[in-house]
Amino acid sequence: MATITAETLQHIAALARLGLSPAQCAHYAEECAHILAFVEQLNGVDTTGITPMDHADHLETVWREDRLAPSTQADAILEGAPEREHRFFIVPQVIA
Amino acid sequence: MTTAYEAIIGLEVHAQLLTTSKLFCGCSTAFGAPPNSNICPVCTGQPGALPVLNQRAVEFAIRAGLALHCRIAPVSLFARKNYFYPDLPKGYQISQYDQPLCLGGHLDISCDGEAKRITILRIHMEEDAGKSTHDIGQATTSHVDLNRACVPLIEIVSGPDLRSPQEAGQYLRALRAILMYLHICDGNMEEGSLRCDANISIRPKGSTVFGTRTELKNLNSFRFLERALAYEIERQIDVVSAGGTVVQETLLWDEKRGRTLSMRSKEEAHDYRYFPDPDLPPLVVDDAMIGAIRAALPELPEAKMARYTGEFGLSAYDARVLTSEKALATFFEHAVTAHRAPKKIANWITTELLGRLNARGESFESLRITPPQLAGLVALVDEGTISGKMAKQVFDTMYATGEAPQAIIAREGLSQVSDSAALETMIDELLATQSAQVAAYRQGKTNLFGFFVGQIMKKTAGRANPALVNALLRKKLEEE
Ligand SMILES: [Zn+2]
Repeated sequence: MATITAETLQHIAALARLGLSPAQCAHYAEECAHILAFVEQLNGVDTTGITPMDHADHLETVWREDRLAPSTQADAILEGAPEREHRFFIVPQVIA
Repeated sequence: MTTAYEAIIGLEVHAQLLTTSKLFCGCSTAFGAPPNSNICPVCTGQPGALPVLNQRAVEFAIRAGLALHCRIAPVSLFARKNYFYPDLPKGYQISQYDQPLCLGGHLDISCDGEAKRITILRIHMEEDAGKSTHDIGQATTSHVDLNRACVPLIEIVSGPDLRSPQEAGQYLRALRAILMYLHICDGNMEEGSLRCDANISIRPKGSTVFGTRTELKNLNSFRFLERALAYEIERQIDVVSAGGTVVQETLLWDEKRGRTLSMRSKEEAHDYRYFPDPDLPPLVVDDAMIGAIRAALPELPEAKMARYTGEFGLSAYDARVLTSEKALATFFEHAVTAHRAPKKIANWITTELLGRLNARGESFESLRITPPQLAGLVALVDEGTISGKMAKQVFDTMYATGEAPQAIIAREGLSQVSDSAALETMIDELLATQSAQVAAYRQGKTNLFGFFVGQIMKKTAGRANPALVNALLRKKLEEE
């Protein structure tokens, strides 16, 4: 069965901005191993002659005309911010 | 640059498309609106909001692809590029990854008079991020404006074909001109409508292996691009010459200090974990759509150059200068329509007009002379109303005030004396008072001819038609 190291799991968690305790890490490592095992099972299927799917459903492009639909919710969105100044969202300094 | 090494440069150019609304929502793309006024649930990534693709943005991207001789993929995919940054509200950027819209084209540039073909690897569509400002108020916070979030961009990726900062500059200029010809980008580098990153490495001349490359960001003017590349080439050569190795990293150009700075980004920052965006079905474009866009393409610089040298008989140099910017080519063509003297008009534009603009550091947009006015000036010279010398004087006033040449000539009494009866009388009077010189001329001192011409010019304050004066003088001096 596929395995996933604690190190790999921590790396993926860091990319997703998730803080995991060692216990959680062990738990999710096991869950991920199950997912990988399923993918391995899928890899074993003979897909000769089958067109790869690009998407989960069979929709084709849905177009929108290039026309303004001015937002009426800008102020409501701003009000939802934990911190703001004038019309700016305020976040912790990102570049030193 | 040390001649033992050559530079390998590839550019990634982001161009903002001139659509009215954003890529996936109906918010305005207008620059300069109050912060966070053009935002909605879609472009701020509110839960449950769904993106719907702007058709014109796709048409614009295809226009760029066709103009750059790319193959347009009948099916391309939008993917999520995952990373965290405060100006990226969804936590991912919608971009295209392994199946972009346009593939495998080229752009011909001219460097030191020689043509060079630069490969275009791909053009893909993506949404822009918002804007973070780090220097307002407190040093512990950043200000985020999401007006720009989700504005449509194309990223044009060149092959590693550029060999010098100058070539990179030429490539970017040519690319910018084409995007502006196509009316799909305003080309404004100051406002960020056109942005450029560079991948750069060096290798010993003659080697075919690529060295370790660095990525240079923030090259947002032609000057920055060329200076930053020159600096980085030197830096890499110094590292290698001292026995070191170039480290693969992302560098930021600091124009104030004239150097590159390492962004010290963590390794994992580049682990974007792309995957197809489940909210967007595959982008399918059919031949009819591509055909219609191809049929509506405007005449591009290459074709214009061929027409100017062929139909108008311009030199390759003049043709290249006039087609380097759409506004310039349009000006030239309008002037030629008003007065069909393409070579003369081209000459006025490339020498007098561009000469003044360059000398004063003014932009073509600020020009006050109109094409019909310039055509009118050339016509007045051709008709003999004013001399070429006077025309330059008139041109100076036109350039400064934007007045029509006829008005300037009338006001300043500049028109040429082309009345042969009046000139004849003047010449008779002159010859009568200069009998000694006339006798000398007739005895063979023909170089006195210029003296007589000069006298007439003095009498008319330079306004006499020189060709007419010459003809009349010759006749008078030789008839007796
Ligand atoms: Zn929006």
